[in-house]
Amino acid sequence: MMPERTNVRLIPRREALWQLGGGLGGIALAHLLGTEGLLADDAVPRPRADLNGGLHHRARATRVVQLFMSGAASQCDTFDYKPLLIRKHGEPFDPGGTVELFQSKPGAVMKSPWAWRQHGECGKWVSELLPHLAGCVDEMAFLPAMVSKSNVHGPATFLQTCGFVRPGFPSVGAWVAYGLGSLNENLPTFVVLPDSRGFAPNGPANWGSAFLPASTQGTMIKATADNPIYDLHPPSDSFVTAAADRDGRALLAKLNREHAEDRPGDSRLEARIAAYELAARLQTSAPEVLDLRGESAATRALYGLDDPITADFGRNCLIARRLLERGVRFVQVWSGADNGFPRRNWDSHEDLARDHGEMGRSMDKPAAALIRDLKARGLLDETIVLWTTEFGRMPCSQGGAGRDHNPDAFTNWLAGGGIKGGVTHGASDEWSFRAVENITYGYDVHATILHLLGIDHERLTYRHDGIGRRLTDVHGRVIREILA
Amino acid sequence: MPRRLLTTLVLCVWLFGSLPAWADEFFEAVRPLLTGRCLACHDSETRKGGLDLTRRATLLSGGDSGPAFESADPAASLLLEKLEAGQMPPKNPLSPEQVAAFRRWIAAGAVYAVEPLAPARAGLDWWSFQPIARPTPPALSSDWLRTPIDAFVLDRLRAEGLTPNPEADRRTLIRRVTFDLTGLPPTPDDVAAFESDPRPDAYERVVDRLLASPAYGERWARHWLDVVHYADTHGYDKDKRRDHAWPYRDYVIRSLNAGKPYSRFVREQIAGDVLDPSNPDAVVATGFVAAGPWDFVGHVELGEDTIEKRKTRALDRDDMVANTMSTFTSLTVHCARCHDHKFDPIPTRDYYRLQAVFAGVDRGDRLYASPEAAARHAELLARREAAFERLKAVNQRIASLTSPELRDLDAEIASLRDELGRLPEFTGPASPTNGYHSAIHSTPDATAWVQLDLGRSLPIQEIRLFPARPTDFPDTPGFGFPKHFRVEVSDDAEFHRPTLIHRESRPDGLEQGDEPLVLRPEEITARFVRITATRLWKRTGDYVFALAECEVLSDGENVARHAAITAFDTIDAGRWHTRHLVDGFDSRTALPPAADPTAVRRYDLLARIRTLEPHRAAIAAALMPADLRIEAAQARDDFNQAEAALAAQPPIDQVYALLSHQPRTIHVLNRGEVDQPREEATPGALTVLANLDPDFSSTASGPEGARRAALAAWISHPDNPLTWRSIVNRVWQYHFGRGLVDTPNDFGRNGSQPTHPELLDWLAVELRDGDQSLKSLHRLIVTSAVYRQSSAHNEQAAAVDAENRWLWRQNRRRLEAEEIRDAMLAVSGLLRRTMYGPGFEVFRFKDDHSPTYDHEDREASLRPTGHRRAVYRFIVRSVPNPWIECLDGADPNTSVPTRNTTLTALQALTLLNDAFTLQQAEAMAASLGPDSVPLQERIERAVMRALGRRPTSTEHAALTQYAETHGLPAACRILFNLNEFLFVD
Repeated sequence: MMPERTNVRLIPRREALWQLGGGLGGIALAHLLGTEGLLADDAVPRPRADLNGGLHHRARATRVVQLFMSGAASQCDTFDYKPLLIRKHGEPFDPGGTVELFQSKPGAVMKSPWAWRQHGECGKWVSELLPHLAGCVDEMAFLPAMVSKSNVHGPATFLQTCGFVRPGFPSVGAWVAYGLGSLNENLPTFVVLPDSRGFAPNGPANWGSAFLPASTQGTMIKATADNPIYDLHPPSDSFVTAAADRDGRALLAKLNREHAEDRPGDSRLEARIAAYELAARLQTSAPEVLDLRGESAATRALYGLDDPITADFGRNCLIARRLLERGVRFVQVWSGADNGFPRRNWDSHEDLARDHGEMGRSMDKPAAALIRDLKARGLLDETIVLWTTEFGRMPCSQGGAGRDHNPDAFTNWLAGGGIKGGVTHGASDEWSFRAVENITYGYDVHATILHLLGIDHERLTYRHDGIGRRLTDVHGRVIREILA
Repeated sequence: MPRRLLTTLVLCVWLFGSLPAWADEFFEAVRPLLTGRCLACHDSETRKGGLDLTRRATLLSGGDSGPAFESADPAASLLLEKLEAGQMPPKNPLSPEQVAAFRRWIAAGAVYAVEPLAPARAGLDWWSFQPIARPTPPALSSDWLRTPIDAFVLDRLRAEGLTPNPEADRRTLIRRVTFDLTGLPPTPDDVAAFESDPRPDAYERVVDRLLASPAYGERWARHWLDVVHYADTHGYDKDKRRDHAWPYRDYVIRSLNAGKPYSRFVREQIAGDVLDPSNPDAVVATGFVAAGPWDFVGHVELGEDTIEKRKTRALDRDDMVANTMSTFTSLTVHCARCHDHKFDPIPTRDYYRLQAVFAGVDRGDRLYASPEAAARHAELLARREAAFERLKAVNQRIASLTSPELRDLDAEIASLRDELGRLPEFTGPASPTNGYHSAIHSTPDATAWVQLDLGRSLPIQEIRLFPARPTDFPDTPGFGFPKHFRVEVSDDAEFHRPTLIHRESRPDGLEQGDEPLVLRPEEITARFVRITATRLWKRTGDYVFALAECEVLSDGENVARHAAITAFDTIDAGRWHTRHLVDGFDSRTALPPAADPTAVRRYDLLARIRTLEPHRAAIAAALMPADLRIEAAQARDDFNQAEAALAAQPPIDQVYALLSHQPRTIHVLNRGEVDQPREEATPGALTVLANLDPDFSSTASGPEGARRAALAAWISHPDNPLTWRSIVNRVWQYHFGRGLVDTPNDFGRNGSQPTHPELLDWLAVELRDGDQSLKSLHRLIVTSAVYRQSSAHNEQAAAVDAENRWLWRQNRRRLEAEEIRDAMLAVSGLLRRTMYGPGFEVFRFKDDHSPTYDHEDREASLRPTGHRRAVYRFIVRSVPNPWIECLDGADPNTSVPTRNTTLTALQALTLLNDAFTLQQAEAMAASLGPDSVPLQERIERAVMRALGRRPTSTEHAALTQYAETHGLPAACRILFNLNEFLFVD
């Protein structure tokens, strides 16, 4: 399918990249005509080589992988160990104050169905639900005092993915793509690997560009689909033969060039010609990155590709590594689909042992494999791994076997570039009910990630609707306590 | 630091009776300049170039270029250097006196007498708040001038030393104005007719034809819908369909095509339902208030009286306030939700006064109809209501009949009920499912059944039917429990010889509630149990049969648990499935085990009450005197007739719009937090406009709509300068690609200032004092010489004004996503010009707890129903249409006053490879003529249609040769990717 490029006048590579500003995504030559953001005084951000690609200070990392546990992964069944729940199991839940739940009235205190053990040199307690991640605790910095501003999936998911509880704001990945541009010339800057069973709450709005240029939006890759990137190739049964495609593009370039020559002084016309050349490169590089046949049996086994429970998430984690390796800036990998029935995400209202059991087993081994594999390849130093979810779950039971939503305490962890391993910052109360010490929000996690990428979160702004918008709104504090 | 300084200052004043000179300098000269001219970029938030001038410490640490102040050598400070060189502030450098003041202050040590400094807010003297005076167009003489607009523009061009471009050629002109006014390309005939029209007003005739075309409203409605963030789903989690949103979209199209006066257009959208209640269009117009996203889970699934619910509602009202004020007045009022507006004189109090205007507004489907139909409907409703009252009165009289036997029976029933009420509640785990749900029927008198196969013939002692109360209908016990139904058993699956266990017909108003129906057949053995509904339960606008659970007791065991279920029809979606009828859960919780003694007792009580109640009814009936009996029959008959007449009415239409109810109390919220209420807010508007009364508190005690009517009057008032400037600026922007104010949603201090303030005001007055039709405004603009000039580049002019702020040329623009799609359909010949109605769906839809919208489904993307203009597309908020999205379509989650234009590789792939593009290319090829027409000629036709001109000879040869080798569809595919197809000069 790769069209021959001999009869296409190639724009010098550097110039093409500059013109399109962000590799494949292309910028935004936003239009002379009134795009607020680019016409505002703010210049388009320019990464500085002397800052390791950062904008405002030296970057400690250059790329990010965000693992999103959709539906709300329980903190008190994974990383937030509370002996009190074991002691008080079955007793009335009375932490003091009002307990306002999403769906139900508080049931009795419920201990985790999984036993707890200490791991690593740091001695972090991890439940037996996650034996593989437990082996990586010395790489991770834990934030057990995360708090959300909503206990409803949609708004809370937006808060973690886009920094606001409402729709209409760009995803973290889009901000990073806007701020730093591309590290490669053949693949998108921001890639999303959805759960194979469907979209999480809010759907693709979680990785949209909103008011940022469309070029910064997440490109969805459906690993097992025939056309993993939408419209990458014409449908196989269409009239477009390989030869018609190749000759057609040559003709198109010729006609477009003649048109542009008659209209000097308009760089957009040249930029569109270059966009077709980038498209051709993507057509070759995308299938290559998705072809896992070259991976060793050991690597495939490491990610659990040989086990039907882990194969789906494992495949996406392995593809994530291959994308990062090839210079994709930001990869978002989803564990969990919508809130339908039977449960296909972490939203375990009815039967936590069953549903968290399944989600945990499917996620644990591949996520641990990603950390180990990145480390073995020397990539972990420059890659931030973020494990996140929209909020936590209640330490009391819902209907005897499930847990309701808890926005007041949940856990995130980070690993990799610039992160101090084996530390815990903040704490929830003795119930794992409320964050009480060194409370952190999604804003702080976002500020920290931007900081590690060499960006001051208060200075990466874009004018929209009269407001200089930023990812962290008016919030955000870099969590320096977890920085290496 | 600040405290110590202040102490020092107080000391100075006390000791010397005045401030020291450096402090004078600071307060008199430097601070106003810092706050007024510097902090917009160099405050602690923006910190442009890394520099923050709000504090002395940050001044010292400086920015990316190093410290801004040198304490060792103040005169060499970078700050001073930039000011002296006139580099800062970048647009209008400081005067020599102002620089001198800075020099003295810096020399004295650059001491901040107070800090931190805050950026200055715009004052009430800000340009956009000033009344509009009608400016006189400059008196210029030039052959170039065609309209007063041109005089304003030319005056400015001359001042800048620029000259405008000459008029574009006719082909360019007709292509430009046709896309601009209708969103469609001109046909080759249109082009030819215009090119050969010798009349002096040939162009004006084209403009009039285009403005009269219904395509005009379709094109300009799309602009309006971008601004008001319209879509056909709710957005957020679950993103449910909003099936009745489209009448508002059609209202916008109709209003624009009718040339509706703008002030009326404004008023109808905010308060049409109260200002003109008998006009269905005015009710539909309020779809504006409801256009934005709505959090289904937060509104429907959260309990009342929770903090989260209050948050959900506060954000919902915020969306209404922001939508109204951004759209009509171009102010960012919503910035004042958590604190006083940082840039504009809008206190938080004003913001909450506006929230109070919408305090009695929710979103939802509301009925509307022609005035006659609405009156008839109301009359029938009243008739049914009266009949129902009579029926109730008669029933009451029947209920009061009594006898010793009845008294005994009543006592027995009461004691059974009493025991029932005292039984402890069984608490089981929450239910993951609802139960069985029939298909949805449009009439109540449909038959639906569901049946259980017990596997073999078994003795049956008891059958229990558990009504549903689904989580998404938490206030509806007895959901789906049929009005007329029977329960039968049989040994053959087809029920050729059924045994009837129970039959019941219930009058309206008698609902099953939460209690199960417990039936105890006598000595019966059967393999199959069937429940047949013959009159269905009424949902909102349709009819269904639903049951949460069915238990069948055989020798103390629930044998239904393993039964196979079949049904006449079923929806099988989300929490509803035939198999959930026997899964051990009703729609809320798990059911108790069969042997649970409390449960056994409960069902026993229910069964006995159920046998006693009909018995009581029979005795009471026997007691009835003949006249009461006749009266009761008459009342029942009247009621049934009223019901039937109502049902026979043609359906009333629905629109997703605002629902009015008793206003909630609104408080000013500290930092926008719902759990930190301050004083109560009464309805009102902004205090920034001196000549309009912003206080609507007199409406607080009246009906809800009075608040909105007051706001509608305030906004549409001739003396509201924001409204009139806002709309003419938007219209100008769509014609030129950039507004006279290039921040069309922000006329505040953080927005841009007008490039041509007099022109802006002149246009505003023209619109306001004329017929207020946007069509008149369009005509004025597109017949101007400014609009008609060519877009050709000019090296000298570009050196002076690269951005073309002074309009020395027209702007070349890439078509918008919808225009590209419509243009492909137009040139392929597939475009269907059907107007109005429900949106077309080019995705595969699957309803569920969280519905699926699959836009990558090829069959769906190629549906002929999708061959209408893109303005009629069903717009999904959570899952954007990838074709439209990648071409910079508007995100319906947020107001989009200006579209981005990006040029990306993914766009190239979409325009080359998408199944829709290829379908259009094939259709276009086929429409160019049969194979008998020479290929060369068909290529010529194709280029004429796509580009509005004949191909050059080299183009013609290259395209013909390509089509010969690879086919005509492949050649059409290339035409769709040409810059000339996608840009308008």
